[in-house]
Amino acid sequence: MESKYIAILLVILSTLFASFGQLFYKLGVDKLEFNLSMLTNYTLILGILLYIIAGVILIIALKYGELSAVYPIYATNYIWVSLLSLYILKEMMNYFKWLGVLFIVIGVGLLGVSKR
Amino acid sequence: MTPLISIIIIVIAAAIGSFGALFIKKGSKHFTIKKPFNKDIVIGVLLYGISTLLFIPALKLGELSVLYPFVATGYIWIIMLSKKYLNESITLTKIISIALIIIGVSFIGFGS
Repeated sequence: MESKYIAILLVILSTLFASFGQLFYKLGVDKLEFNLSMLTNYTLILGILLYIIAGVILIIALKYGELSAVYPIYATNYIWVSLLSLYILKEMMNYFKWLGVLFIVIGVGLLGVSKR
Repeated sequence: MTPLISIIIIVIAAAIGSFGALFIKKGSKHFTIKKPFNKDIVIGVLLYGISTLLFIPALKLGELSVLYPFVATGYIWIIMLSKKYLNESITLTKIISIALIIIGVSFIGFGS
């Protein structure tokens, strides 16, 4: 089914936006002070905007794909967040996390190539 | 130590989030950029927002190695809800994929 590939692509695109949104949100919250500077905390605002865009793309993805296929593929978000934490936030990865990422890749991949 | 209350909140939040996803899926049918708001989308986003508001403090209360597997129970809700309310077929492939993803999420929790 062609529409299914559109759905998968859109979901993965949505997870990309969501993971960057999470990154900027976290960076913005770290800088957050409870005064007027909150309004010009562009990092935080960018994070929230990215989340909203991710949400809109996800809704469009659901137009084309089944919920029981789209929702699990959202686990791809964990992969991006792991990579972003490693390369941008310089957080430590360990074997458990890599193993987890591997399982998610296999699970999402299997879902992606399955017929429905 | 992971307090039991945090596990309970996570399980509830995962369930609420899944129902939110269900409503969003129902509302996506009539979603257009020009007319983005309809009853199902609004309910879905609200439910999803509530689950997020529950998740964030609960995850801080306990260890991710214990809590992440319970976050993954959301996937199980999705299988049940999409079969019951959306008539989606739950193939063996889907079940295996989701099982792998749940294991993966749990490992990420163990490593955190």
